[in-house]
Amino acid sequence: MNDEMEEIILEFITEAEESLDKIEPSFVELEQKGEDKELLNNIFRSMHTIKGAAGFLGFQSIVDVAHSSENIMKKLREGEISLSKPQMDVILKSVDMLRLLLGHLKEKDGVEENVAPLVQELGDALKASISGSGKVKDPVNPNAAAAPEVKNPKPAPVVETAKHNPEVISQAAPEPVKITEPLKAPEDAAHKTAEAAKPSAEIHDAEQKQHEAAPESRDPASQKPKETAQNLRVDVNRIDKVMDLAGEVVLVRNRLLNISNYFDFKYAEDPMAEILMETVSFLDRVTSDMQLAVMKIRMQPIQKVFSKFPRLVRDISANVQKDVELQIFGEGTEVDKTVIEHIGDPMTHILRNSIDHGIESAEERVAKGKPSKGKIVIKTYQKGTQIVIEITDDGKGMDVNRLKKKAIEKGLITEDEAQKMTEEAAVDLIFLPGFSTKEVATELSGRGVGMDVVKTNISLLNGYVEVTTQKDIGTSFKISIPLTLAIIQALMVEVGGAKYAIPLSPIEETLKVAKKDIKDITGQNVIVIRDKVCPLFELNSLIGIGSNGSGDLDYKYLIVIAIGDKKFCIAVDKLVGQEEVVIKTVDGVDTTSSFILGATITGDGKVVFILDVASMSRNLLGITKG
Amino acid sequence: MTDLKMKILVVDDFSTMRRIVKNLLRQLGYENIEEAEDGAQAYSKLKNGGYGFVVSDWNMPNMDGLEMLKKVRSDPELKDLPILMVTAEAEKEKVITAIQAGVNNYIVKPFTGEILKEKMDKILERLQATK
Amino acid sequence: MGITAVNEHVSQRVLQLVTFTLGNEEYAVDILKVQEINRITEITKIPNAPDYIEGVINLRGKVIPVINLRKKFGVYDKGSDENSRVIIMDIQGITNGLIVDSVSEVLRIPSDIVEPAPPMASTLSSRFIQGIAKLENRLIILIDIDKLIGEEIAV
Repeated sequence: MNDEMEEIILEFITEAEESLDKIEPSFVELEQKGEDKELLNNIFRSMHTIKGAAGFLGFQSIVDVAHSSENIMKKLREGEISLSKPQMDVILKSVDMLRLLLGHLKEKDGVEENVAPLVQELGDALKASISGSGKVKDPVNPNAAAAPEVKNPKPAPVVETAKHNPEVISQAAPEPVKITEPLKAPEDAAHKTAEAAKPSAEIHDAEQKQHEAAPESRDPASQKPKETAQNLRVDVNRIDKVMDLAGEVVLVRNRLLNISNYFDFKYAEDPMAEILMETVSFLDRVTSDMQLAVMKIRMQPIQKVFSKFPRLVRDISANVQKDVELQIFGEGTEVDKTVIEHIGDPMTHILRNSIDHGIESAEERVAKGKPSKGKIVIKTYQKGTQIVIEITDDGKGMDVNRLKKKAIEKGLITEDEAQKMTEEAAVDLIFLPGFSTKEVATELSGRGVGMDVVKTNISLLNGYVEVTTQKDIGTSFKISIPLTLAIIQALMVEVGGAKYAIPLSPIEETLKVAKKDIKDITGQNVIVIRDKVCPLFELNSLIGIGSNGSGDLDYKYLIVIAIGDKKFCIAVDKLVGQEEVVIKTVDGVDTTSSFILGATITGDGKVVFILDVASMSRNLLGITKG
Repeated sequence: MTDLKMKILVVDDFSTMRRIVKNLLRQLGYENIEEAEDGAQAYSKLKNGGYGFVVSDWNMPNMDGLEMLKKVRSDPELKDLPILMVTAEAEKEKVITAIQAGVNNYIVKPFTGEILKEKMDKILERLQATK
Repeated sequence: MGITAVNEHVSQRVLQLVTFTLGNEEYAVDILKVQEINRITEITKIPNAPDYIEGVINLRGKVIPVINLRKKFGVYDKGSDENSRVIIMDIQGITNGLIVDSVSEVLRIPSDIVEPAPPMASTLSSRFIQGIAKLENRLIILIDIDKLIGEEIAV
């Protein structure tokens, strides 16, 4: 197989998988909304497209499965049959089968799945619903059971079409012309399905030859640059490689800056030195822009992860005979690729836990006066430099005493510890390895693995989980993850000769004030802004660096920060300007008391810390409401 | 004969399909191939001019192949542009609709390079003859 | 402790070390942990950080902390000069820089000339010492870098 083919196949796998990801939530939505034309059409289209491409690539099993489920979707779409749960189930089964088949292709494990039973099942489902509505003939070949591979009538039209070569008269004028001839082809085809099986093999043969012949026509000279499509699929390793290289370029750029400074100093009268300076400073800007651009490539909407959940919730709740509705908000929030990769598992565990342990059975819920249908809400939003994901159920909440009792039984804590344990700490017990609250392990969430995985995975992303629970109101899991590679808008400031970045979002305004306007009230500096007294802190004394840099200026710049209902000012020497900065974590050093949430590398290659104004607010103003 | 420099627009929402069709066209010797993801995008590209042929999928989100076809035919600048429609199965109603809307020919997936060439040549020959 | 491990597992083996100086003493670290050795670039101070943490540097787009070994070991800090170097090391998966007075050489020595450190051998707390290599007219102190920096990371 040549590279081009290999690439096409890889692209097909990715695209087909994405397509399945996209339609999965539609099934659940369909069940809720009933027969929504648009949804039906989307599912139909995806199956149809996958089938079409798979046909070219010779993946017959995929063609068969997609074709059979497409048949059902088509009838549904055209309103010839109506939606039923067994149908949905069998189509979902075919989605799973398609994934499995794509998985084999991806792994190149050569494993063949026997799709005949599923194809049969799909055919039966269609038959059943048609005989139910009783208006359409059975389009499936009656010989199907005997020879499943002959069953798919699709290849036939190709051959027939080719043979008859429909003479559609080419004409710009829209008058109908000689439509009888081409139409024979499909009709014939439908009646000659069995016969068609043979020629279909020939087609694949021909296709293979064609693929083999491909490299000859791949003359590099013929591959002129072309206007490409809007989206391009790129191997992540390549992006990461570019990111590393961008880092290298920054380093070289820095050296170059130094060298050009030297030349500028030494040969000040030489115009070439000046040109060198200009060139390098251009490189300087371009390099910074490039770094940012590369970072942005890695950001993706979190929807990529969420699209699996409606189906997941549907399956899990069906399994435990519960009725649960899932609502998702904020799926457009963009996060770094690493977050996309690692957030799926912990969220799955939480959802399972909520359905299994949180949401009550319908009877129980009705008895409590709740709606019989349970509800889980996933909300995602960016808060400062954190991505917050809240998963809230309206179930029975956690019984703190039961949690404690269980933990004692499991030997995870002692009687004494349980006594002293706060409610919050007790709720956190669920994250201990080996903790499982159900007496009988259920298939889904009671295996004793699960919630501890949540904590581990999330801490891998430098995030944390908080749980709040209220009896009969429900439980809420709040996951906060820093946007380790996120880009934020920041205000660059200078104090004592050093630069700092302050995230723009909590900044309310900036002011220039005369030093004499800063008042001291019982040891606390304050400033009056529009008749309101606002506490003021000198940045250099907060961070304990460069305190004597510019004490003699007779004015200061104030940055007014508002966090929640608290407001305070930070005084700096200079406002440098607004910049888009990439947040980088600082590993290997304890920064808990540094008031920094990360660092960024500025255009000149210098490291600038990004201040954590939220932690300043907590530490300076206290937790009590000010 | 066939002009291999002719600019061809391949319209399909599935990028794998675009690539496959593009590959087939390249094998036939066509070099100047562009892509569009749906009818709407295709139409705006066509409006920029310079295209000699369109190979379009039928089923696409936003604007499907048929809608695009109708739009092209009703556009005085584009009405003569040859369009080859790709369908998955030769469906009776579909083909009638497409012909009524002025499609030049249709081709059923999956097809080989030879079939594609045959269809294209036929369309182009006819165009030449009517000119 | 560290030295017994060395004796058990790699007795008669050759150790490859990067040696460097701090004041008048010569130290060494395992070459496998050394990523690269750089000249000192611009260091950004970390607010409210311990004194021996000199700050952070930009290492090809990564922000990594730099530790001043003189300060860490309690040797009088003379500031950096022409010979000063930052040894970039991978310590338990985290990249760190160590500022030293100068980097001398890459040394190959048989493991059996390394002796356990005498208690309180120098100003350097003996728990960071993996052993002492006695060469003809030199004494080289092998540093257990994981312990030295690992303590920081664990905080």
